[in-house]
Amino acid sequence: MIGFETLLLVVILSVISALVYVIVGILPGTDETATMAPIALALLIAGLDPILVLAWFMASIVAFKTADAVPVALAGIPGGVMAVPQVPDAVEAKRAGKADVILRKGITSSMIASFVALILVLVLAFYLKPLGDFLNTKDVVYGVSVPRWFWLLMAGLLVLALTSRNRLLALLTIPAFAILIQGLRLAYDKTAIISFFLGITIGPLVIELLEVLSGYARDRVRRGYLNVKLEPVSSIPLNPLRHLSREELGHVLLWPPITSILAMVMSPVGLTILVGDLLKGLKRNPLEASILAYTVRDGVKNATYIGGLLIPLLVIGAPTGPMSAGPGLPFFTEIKGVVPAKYIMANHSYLEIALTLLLSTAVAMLVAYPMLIRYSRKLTLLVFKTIPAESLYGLFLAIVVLLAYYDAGLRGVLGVFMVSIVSGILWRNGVSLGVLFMTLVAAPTLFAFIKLV
Amino acid sequence: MTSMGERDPEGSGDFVEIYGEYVKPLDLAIAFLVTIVGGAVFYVVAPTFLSFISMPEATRAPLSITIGLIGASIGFLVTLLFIKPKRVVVEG
Repeated sequence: MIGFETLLLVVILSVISALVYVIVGILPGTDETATMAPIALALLIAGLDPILVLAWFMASIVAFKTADAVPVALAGIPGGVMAVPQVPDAVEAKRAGKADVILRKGITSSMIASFVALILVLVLAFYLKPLGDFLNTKDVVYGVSVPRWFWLLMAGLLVLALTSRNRLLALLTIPAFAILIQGLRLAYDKTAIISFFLGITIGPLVIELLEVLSGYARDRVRRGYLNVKLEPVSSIPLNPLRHLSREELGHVLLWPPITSILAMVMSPVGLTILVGDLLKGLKRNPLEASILAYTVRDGVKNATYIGGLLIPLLVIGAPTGPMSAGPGLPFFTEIKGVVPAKYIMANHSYLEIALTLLLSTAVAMLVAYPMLIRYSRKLTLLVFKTIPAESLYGLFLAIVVLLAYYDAGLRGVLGVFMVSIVSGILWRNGVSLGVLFMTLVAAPTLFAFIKLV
Repeated sequence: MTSMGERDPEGSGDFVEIYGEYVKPLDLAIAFLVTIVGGAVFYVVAPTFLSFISMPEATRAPLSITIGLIGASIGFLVTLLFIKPKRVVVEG
């Protein structure tokens, strides 16, 4: 039973999370998994009630996925990986002097999409709950005990591998990476997951750093500071109803809910790219096409993160797609004998969970929306001028090392290093990190099948 | 146009581009060291501190990592004092 104290904590945590992730969202080069997952993991390890961590995480999704488009609109710089597809359209709009137009449309779209997707996901998950028992039933296949959700995970994994930039390498990676993970688990003498997960998360950063430090990245050497041109913004009214045209509102009410369901097994970035490209085909005028694609993509980002996490969490209790097996994996990871997703479902009624999620989303919206609509330019200036990339990357790496040490001592730290090098090289060669996250979850069952041959 | 950031020290040193940001490798190494030392010191001292305030043994381990992460966050704040962003913001 959730009491007044818990609800108060939900509000406080959601406010803090929204404030922190508005800033993280504005900062360039902040990968979603690297910034959201370790903090959620740390809160879970610290013993905070998983439903409070879920409230924190929901608020971070709403704030981060709204704020990461702000530097795109103002400076053409993505504030996160999910905002990268919006850059070309933002450049087109900026060229026409429409930076403030896409800024307000994007923020409003994110807000509406977050709310609509959450309502849809909560209703859908409630009716799909009986399916959870079916998907959690284990079958014996060639002597291997396999939960049925494993096949859903494998279907998503294969789709993601086949849509990776380097599909052959992505396909070959699946069994090979499973062997690496299971081999390292033997060296750990335990079924560790945290340090492997963190290793994949920081793979791209570690490989870029190693290349730079080893002198292999001469093409990335720069002289002088990074020049950032910030577009002017006129005063924007707070009323969200004045920001979207009827056509835009229709698309925002249609596509984010659809993609929130598809994100159960499909990649959020892939869906964001797909929907934007589809919509651009509807418009002849390139500027109108760019504004529409930018606006709807902003909403799709939030919706795919919400659906991609919550449908597997509320229905199955196991990760089935790149979101739940990526940034959301802490909720499906056994921590001190408890899987947070299962703990939440076992200890709280569906109504309590739904109310907590609605409250944290509403609080995050109330914090992020006025901040970003009114002060986006001042905030961007402040963040760009005071927070150096070095401090931020240093903090991520330090958190990862601490958590890996806590997970498995020095072996955990070395395991993170090994997995991050392999993950970084595969990522550099066109393998989506989602393939690696999903293989990590599938590794024990995959390895059991590989042993049969 | 008004320059709003640090004066552009063109030619004052090399940076490397990581994730679209300009980074000075030495500053990154210092930031990592300061943050990890902050985290490690707090993590190592935490069990002694927790036993001193009579915290039950079962909760010491998870609280130690929390205190370690607080130490890392303090380390991060310290680095903001002496590492400067490598950006020049120009208002259009």
